[in-house]
Amino acid sequence: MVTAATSLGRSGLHDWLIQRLSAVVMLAYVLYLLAYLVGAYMVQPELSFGVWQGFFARPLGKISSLLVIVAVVAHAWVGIWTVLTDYVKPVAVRLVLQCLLIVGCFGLLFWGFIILWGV
Amino acid sequence: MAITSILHRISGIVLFLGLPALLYMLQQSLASEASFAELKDCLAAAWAKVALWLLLSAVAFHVIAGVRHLIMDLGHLESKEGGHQAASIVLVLFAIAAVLLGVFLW
Repeated sequence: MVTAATSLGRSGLHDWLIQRLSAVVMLAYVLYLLAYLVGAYMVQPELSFGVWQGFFARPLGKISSLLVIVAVVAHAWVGIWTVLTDYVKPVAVRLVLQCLLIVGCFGLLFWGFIILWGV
Repeated sequence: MAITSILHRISGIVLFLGLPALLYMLQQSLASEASFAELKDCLAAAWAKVALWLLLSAVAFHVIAGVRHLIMDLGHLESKEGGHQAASIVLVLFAIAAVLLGVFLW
């Protein structure tokens, strides 16, 4: 089936798990980043470059940010794939869009890595 | 309610389309102190604030509605009444989050 050929997990159950796992990873990250920013806000309301960059520079911040880029891209792949499968019925158009989605997701993944790696 | 379900989908599409903008801002904010300051100046413009507020609100909605989905996956809130209540809670929490984001940005 064409639909299964472009999905990230190759099966609905696999996709289902990827979507939940990536969601939990992102949720934990959002809470972690929010806690950091609120903590910084208590000390000094104006967000400085040092405080902002400091989050991404420390090992835990950097590793979790890289992890979350992977989670975002996987989540987007599964989510947008589902939306395209639901609404774009002509198979040829859908295949092209889903291939573009895959290329786009890898592009965003590498861009995210480039941004975060050297911080 | 169906409204939170379709909004979850729409906010997800918006976020995917907004990803390049979010990554670009992340890049500029981390590249150097100068680019950080430059980005801050750009985001001081009213239209930029509104755009960023919309994007961050979409994040907030997607996260809150997503948590509802995760709770439902665990087998809760599946009755009609519970589902209605949960959807109302999602909308209320989202309204609070959107206001807080607005306060933070302005």
